[in-house]
Amino acid sequence: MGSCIKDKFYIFQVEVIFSQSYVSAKLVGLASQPGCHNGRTEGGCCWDLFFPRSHYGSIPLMVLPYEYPQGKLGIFVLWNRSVGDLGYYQGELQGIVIPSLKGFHLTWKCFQCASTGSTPDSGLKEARFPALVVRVRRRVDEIPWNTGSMNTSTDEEEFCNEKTALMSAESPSVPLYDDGRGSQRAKESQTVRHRSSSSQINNTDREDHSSSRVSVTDSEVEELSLKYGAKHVIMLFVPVTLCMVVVVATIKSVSFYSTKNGQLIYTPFTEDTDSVGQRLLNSVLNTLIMISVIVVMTILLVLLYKYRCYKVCPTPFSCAGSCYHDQPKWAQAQCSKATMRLLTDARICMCVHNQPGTPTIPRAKEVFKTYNVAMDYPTVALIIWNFGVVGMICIHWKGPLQLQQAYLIMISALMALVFIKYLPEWSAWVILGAISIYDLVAVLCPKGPLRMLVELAQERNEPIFPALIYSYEEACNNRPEDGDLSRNTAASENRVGAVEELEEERGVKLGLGDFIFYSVLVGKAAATASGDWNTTLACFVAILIGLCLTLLLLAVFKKALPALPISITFGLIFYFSTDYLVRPFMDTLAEHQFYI
Amino acid sequence: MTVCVFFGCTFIAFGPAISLFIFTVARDPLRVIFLIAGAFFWLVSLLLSSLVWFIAVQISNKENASLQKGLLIFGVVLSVFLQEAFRFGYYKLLKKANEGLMALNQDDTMPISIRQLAYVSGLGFGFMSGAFSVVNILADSLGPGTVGIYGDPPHYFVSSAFMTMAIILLHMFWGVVFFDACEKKQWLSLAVVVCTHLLVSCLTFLNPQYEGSLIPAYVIAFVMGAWAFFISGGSLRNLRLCLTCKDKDFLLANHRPR
Repeated sequence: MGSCIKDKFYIFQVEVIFSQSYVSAKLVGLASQPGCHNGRTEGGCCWDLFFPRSHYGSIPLMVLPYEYPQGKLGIFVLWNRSVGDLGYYQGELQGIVIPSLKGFHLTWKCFQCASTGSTPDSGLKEARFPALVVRVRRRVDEIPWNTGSMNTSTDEEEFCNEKTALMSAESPSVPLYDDGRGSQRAKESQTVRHRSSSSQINNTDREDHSSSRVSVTDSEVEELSLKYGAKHVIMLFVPVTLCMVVVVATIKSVSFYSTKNGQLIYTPFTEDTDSVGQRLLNSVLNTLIMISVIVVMTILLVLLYKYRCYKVCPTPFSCAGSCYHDQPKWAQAQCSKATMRLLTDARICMCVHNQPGTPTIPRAKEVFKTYNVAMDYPTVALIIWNFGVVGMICIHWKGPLQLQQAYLIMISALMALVFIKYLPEWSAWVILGAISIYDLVAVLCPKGPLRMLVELAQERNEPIFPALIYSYEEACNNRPEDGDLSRNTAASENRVGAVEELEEERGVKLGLGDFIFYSVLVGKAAATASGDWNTTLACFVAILIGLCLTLLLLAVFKKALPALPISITFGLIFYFSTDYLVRPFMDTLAEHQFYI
Repeated sequence: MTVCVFFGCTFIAFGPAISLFIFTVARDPLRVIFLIAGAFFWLVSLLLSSLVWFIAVQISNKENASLQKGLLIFGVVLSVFLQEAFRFGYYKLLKKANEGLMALNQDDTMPISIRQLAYVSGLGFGFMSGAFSVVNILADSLGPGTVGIYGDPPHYFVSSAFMTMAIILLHMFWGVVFFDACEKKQWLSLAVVVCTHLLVSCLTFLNPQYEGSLIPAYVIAFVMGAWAFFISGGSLRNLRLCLTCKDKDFLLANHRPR
């Protein structure tokens, strides 16, 4: 049986599958002779490909966590089941795991037969080693890989043993899959090779139980990329809507927030002046002070990040953001996520408190007052303490994703409520406008602080402080201090909701400051507009459309983009026009009960 | 003027629309986006028409009540025309976007068909139109007060709610018929849509006499609904199969054994 190996020269076809969340390899065929079939070369010779780290002998597949850096992907073994210990190839598969197949590079080293080989760098998807043909394909269906079990339908699997090995089957040939070309790739310098498969479809292809098409053409890629793009948009609509709903509901029910009761120290000039000009001047001055505070805080944040002072953790209260999408650097094969950039905004008097719990105390008091709920201090203290501690744990350490998102939304809503209460009217509008302009400048200018922050984060392949960004999937646990753990844990449990995406981005993330300022706009519309709900609705729709457009631009440009300008501009336009133009019209119509 | 009235009127006005949203639109993110875009287009049309009305009112004599009423009627008519114009504009935009998408695909597969877009955009228009017409009224119905104490019609809230429901459904049907007419270049159908919209709006001028406005509005809604149904490929046979749960394609798609 040893002659199985020594005398014959087998070309094993190993398919290495790259997807967003894993890399796996499987033995799909033996192309060296006709009549070969998966794992079967000839009578008595059944081969398996597996990685020793997985269940020995049972699962011939290895799922690698996506965040695997370059280097050793694993040792794998081509094991002749019939022969057992006497006949196997053991080799080492090294490579670089990258999000796309642009710069795929794989080397193979066989210990026994001293053969080596590697794929060229430029995205070629096939490499022939003396005993190994590696073909790669991009997995484009949506079903996340179920690690630790045979994901594919086991009824389809050929049961290969001595008996079945005697049967011959038709020659398998794995079709080459297209690289998957989305419209975004047009921007990149990479030339994508279209390889259409003319070979017959491997009818025992276990992978495709979920997608009936074997070859991925452009249209499917395009359709999926459009659907995934739309999914991202909705994933952001929902939290933004929730935050706005919370803010509007609080404003409408708790009258505390609509009453003027003092101002922040960041806006010292009052607006109770006699003339319009004086009021305007005061609001502009307030804005200047606020914006300069924000600039200073942002620069401070960037410096802290640059010099790796991660312990000085910015509080959950301090960010606005905008969105960007980075160019995947294939040399750094980490998750190239589309993250949002940050803009620190001014902290209010709560800035010394680092916990989510503290600003809720005065809010809770107001809510209790409104609904006439009798409450005692020990209960409140217990509740708030728990709330705060769980929030801290969830946001800064680990916690269920839903809880983390809920906390971030609550915090943004609270911040927005504080702004709505304490910012004087005209100042609020001017500040909103000025923040959008600052956002634009800080993100798009080459020396802008936020752009630098984003680039730093990308270079180091770390997520930006988790307390400042809202994301709809598990943050990669690539914290600087537990980078080693990530490899082992990432494959096992942290793929919660990780829908497989086609493009490079892991997901779109939005900074908390964006939530805050959107909610400030809508909340101010609810609190101060005399047209009430029409104005609020109009601002809401305008902000959503602005967000949609921003995400569209993000998909087109694939770089960091400010999320505030477009939405805030639309919001402001619609606020003022609805309040002054539409409201009288609709009121007059409603009076006569005319319908348009 | 209680919570009952509030909830009752809300569900009357928005019930069908919200259930349509939940069951047909909410699952598909693309449809949600196009719905919101449709709502946005309606909003812009309203903005323009209010701008014109506002300017007209400002330069006119505010004391003259009949002039003001005339200007209001003019505003309504203008608004109807602008809404339909923006519907046409939205159609053109969607066609361009679809063409762009299809140019990128070699396979001519579109993720969303023009009929779905028609339905979704009509629903978006309807949502926004209904919301703007009735939300303030609903908010007022929560508070204290007595309706009709000065001789105004006492059924203000309920009739507003029913009218809103009719308007939302009508917008949806108009959207379907409109897009189909644009696709097939049947300008007569287009004109019929615009005319029925104008008719429904003008009938509301009769409004304290709700028989004159509500009943024709519902009749027109039913007619438009049937027209949209037949345009979208429905037929009496389909309807019968669906209602008696014998439609095999539908059952298979929903994994229900029969």
